[in-house]
Amino acid sequence: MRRIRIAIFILLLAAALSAASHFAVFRVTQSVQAQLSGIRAAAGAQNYENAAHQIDALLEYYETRQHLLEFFIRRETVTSASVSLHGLSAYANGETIQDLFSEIDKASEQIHAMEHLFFSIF
Amino acid sequence: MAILLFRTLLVYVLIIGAMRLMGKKQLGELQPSELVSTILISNLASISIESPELPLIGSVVPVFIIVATEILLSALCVRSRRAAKLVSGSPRVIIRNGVIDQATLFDLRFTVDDLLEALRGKDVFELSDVAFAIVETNGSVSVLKKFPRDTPCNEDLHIEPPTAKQPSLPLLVDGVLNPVNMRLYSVDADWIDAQCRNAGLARKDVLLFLCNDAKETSIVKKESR
Repeated sequence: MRRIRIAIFILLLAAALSAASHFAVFRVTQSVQAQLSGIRAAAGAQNYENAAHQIDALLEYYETRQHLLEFFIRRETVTSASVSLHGLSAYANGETIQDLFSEIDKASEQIHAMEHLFFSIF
Repeated sequence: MAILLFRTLLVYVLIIGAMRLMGKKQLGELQPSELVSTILISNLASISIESPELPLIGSVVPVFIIVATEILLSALCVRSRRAAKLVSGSPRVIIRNGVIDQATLFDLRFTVDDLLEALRGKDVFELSDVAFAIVETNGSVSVLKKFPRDTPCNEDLHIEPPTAKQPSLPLLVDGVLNPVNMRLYSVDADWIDAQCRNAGLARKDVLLFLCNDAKETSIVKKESR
């Protein structure tokens, strides 16, 4: 009987952990996507200083959340997204705005792939 | 490298915990679901150790989910014969009244060589000695010999029963007393010490002290190390 109770507890704990991980990963990826959109909007409005600040804020946010993501997602995937995000700051000026948009799209797609890897069943 | 060491030790301890949680049944002859869970657990554990880039939680959580599911499934099988039959199947008779049931043999994909091998594993070397043979759900074969070829028992030979009705239990192991067994056979430490002294030993010199309900003892001395 004791083992049965422990088994039920384990399953409930696994369900709770799964729910918590879904919530945590979803919140981080949605936040990163939102911030990328904000950077794109700022760069599109030629407010490059604001875009650069937003990029710094995004990098800081991602660095603080990276350990949480690595708890649930393959380390290579998380690190690869981090590398893409770090590449944004080099293009936050008027001369390389098209490159910035391209890098934002690339980073956004990597975050999207991370979401897909984590949330998809098949 | 330190991470590898840590992960290996952690996974090792967790898997021992998982196997302990599943209980002794898992360590004996395995039912199909038990075999599956053992294989899966061992694979998950090895993946976790050899792939440090994968999150540890990605293999530890599935291991414990498998353990919990196995426990609940076995509990369900205890309560429901239908569930037990669905999960583990039923025993099948392959030799009935000394005759091989060839249809069942074919159905089980048991060859004649497999059958003879299983019989030899039960110390049966003559097919004509077998009355019944049953393939159990864990794949082992149980054999009932024909009466004239069966081993006689003590009752058949009219052998008088021994004085002891219960088996010998360890009362002292490596110098440490076992109070549970001592209570079972109503002996105390003084009596054990007296028996050891009669054998020319002190308690600390004894590796194993066995005793049955007839107070028949067997003492194994520790060898010098």
